[in-house]
Amino acid sequence: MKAIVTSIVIGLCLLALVRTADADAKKLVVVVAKGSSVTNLSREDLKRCFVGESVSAGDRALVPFNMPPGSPERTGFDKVVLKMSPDEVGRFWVDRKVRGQSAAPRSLPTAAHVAKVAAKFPGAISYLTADQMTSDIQAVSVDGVSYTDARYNIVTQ
Amino acid sequence: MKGSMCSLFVVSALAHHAVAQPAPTSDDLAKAADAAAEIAAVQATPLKTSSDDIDLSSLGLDPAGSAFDDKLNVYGYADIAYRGSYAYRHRDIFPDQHGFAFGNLNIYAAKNLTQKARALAEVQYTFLPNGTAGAGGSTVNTTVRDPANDQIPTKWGGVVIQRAYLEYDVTEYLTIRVGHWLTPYGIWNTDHGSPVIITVSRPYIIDAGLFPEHQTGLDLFGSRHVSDVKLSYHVTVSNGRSETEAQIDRDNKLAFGGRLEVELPWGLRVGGSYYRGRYTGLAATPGAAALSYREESYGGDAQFEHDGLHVQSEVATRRRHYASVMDAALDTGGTATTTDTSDTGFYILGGYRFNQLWNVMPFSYYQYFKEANESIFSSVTVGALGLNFRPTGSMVFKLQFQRGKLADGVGFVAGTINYTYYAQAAWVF
Repeated sequence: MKAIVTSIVIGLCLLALVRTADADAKKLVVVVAKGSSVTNLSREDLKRCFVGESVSAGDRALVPFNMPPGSPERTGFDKVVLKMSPDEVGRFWVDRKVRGQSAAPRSLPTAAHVAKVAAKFPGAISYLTADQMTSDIQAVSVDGVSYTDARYNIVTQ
Repeated sequence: MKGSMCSLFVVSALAHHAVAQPAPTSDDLAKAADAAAEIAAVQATPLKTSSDDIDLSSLGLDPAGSAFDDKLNVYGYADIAYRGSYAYRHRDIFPDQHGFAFGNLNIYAAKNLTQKARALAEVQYTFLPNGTAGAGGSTVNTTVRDPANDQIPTKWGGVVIQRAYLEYDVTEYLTIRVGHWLTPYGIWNTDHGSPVIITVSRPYIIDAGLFPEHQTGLDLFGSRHVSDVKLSYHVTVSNGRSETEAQIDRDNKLAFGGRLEVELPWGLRVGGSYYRGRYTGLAATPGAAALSYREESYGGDAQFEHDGLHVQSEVATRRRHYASVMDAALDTGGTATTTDTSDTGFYILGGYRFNQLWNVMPFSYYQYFKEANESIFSSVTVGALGLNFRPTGSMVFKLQFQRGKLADGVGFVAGTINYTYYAQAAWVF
């Protein structure tokens, strides 16, 4: 009987940890200016855009902007979309510079800056949590999946 | 035991519940409804417009100005190594050597000129030619007295233009590069900088220049994604290889080359490269005939990266066709007996990057190279072991130990075994 109770307590603790981790992660919404023709991007194009490749949508090239390194948004986006840890991201961009390839997307200091730049700068694309959205930007679905969909898995770290 | 089994069963069952998500209970459905309501609430809340307090032009992002980053980016890398080598046999030719060596100080300047055009220049500052053997065999001494600094002895050095070019994106799939560029072949030549390269020393197939390291002319390149597969290409037209290729094509014959590369989503990249051109050297005296030959180079390479695992390999061969057997013999120390010669080699390098100990990567590599000029040695094999530490993206420390063996038989240094150790620090700034 004691073993069963112990097992249940351990199990509940593990479950609580899993649930807590899920609850702490917020969905990251890929955003562009309100009214943009960009409403959906493939995950591969999103990745290409943020690893320095030229990606056009509609009639213009997308200009990616990042959240600052070390922020939960940046770490989560790099992990889920680029499949890289912060260390790997650091190495990736230094290596590209030495090879003479394009530089890293510009990092903006705050979510307010990201929202402003996404709203006003031509072709800008970035990411925010849902509660950081403003009325002059719009969400972009990824592989046809909206951030309101339970299957959407781009989240903060 | 029974209790332990029971515990295991319960924990497994709970873990399974968390992962496999069986049919939802009424409790789960209630929680899901709460979560949906939460999202709906976020959406239903009237959103503010983005802040008016943020001035985009102060960030260099004026929407009315350039819709691209037009800052001049200046950066570079440098490295210094400590090297020691000990030879067995022919110690008169290969005396023991050890000491520090400053390797590279390369400065880059990169700028986007328009949304579709950009320029890059990379210049290497070097202590050379001081202390090296000149064309006539005498040692170069660049020491001069500096009249502006109390006549102190000063050793002047040199500048190597590694690359300087302009690029223009014609379409999403075609970019034209014109200028002086690194030949797009294999892995090593385009990785190029010591902070990026895993080992300290370079393989013979790179050092021997089976493909030209640089060319001057046009490089047309691009890539296209087909599903998850990335296809890339290069087509090159240049002056080809010569001692003056950046300024003069001494034989008035263009060289052509190209590269195809396939990159698969699970970390494998495979490529093939080709080059064909004519080399024409400098005549020893005005009016004298210069050495000239036609050359063709073929190369294949593969790189696999998955999690921390990194494996790369390149194979290359160069065939040279001379106008006469005498020319071939002159260029190969008298060993060529036909008008055609070839150099061939390969290397394979493997390592695993850990997340601990400054992101250490233990690595190992093996290489083989067969030389066309057998007057010195006919072939060489090298095995190496080492550690590559990368505490940050911008700092790299390397330790390497290698054993090189020149094949027995022909060549005046045949049979030499050489042990070399290196420690190198490389950094990007």
